Amino acid sequence: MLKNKNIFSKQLKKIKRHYEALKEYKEFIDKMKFDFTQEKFQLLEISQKAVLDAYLKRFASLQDYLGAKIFRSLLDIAGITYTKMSEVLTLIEKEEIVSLDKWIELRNVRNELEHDYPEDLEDALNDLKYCIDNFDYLSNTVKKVFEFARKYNENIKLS
Amino acid sequence: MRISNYLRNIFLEASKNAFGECNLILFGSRIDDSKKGGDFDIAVKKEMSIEEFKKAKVKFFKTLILKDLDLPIDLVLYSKANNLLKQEINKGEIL
Repeated sequence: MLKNKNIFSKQLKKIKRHYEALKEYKEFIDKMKFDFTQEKFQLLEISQKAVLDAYLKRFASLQDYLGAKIFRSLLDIAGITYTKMSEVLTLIEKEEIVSLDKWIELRNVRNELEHDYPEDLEDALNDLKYCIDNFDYLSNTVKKVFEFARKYNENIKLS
Repeated sequence: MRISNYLRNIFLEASKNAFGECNLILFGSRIDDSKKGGDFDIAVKKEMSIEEFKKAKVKFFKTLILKDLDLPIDLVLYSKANNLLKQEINKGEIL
């Protein structure tokens, strides 16, 4: 259970930091007009590759933090009881914050990123493309989290 | 191999539900009885596209998550593995 409302505010601020950084990287990547081919990847400058890496790290951190902390905290603040992880996810799905299937799909891709750069560049680029294509989904999830929190007087604004 | 009967049965149930009839091969550190802990490296032996595999993988993990089993499992598709990985998988054991 969430013992302190301040903890939840701090968690939301952390999500906001991840989200804003991710959004900034996404805007930079969009301007690169990168087509995710191996040929074009080899031609990128180191600074551009670094932004792609930074994007993936933020994407993974944001996804992890939502799953590990935020979903439970949302249920706590709403006084919705749960005892098991499966209940947290099904209740969060019921609140229309995420779809369980989509969440597992994101998690699967996120876990592939964990294995460093896959040996196969093509797989790495496919996963990168997936994470960039799913910016809107993750971004909407964050927005729904903040909307939900607002119902319980958490008024931190997203940019 | 280091896997309880309970988990083995759950993995088989989840895989049947997700992939249909197929072989699951446990490989990597979990087939070394001298080791402790570690991820479950599992290869799925069935002809399917990467897209089909990704969709089925969601179903597989959903079955486990709804049973409150959030385990470190690395699930790979045998037919799409590179040669080095295939060599590792071939040393594994069918679940």
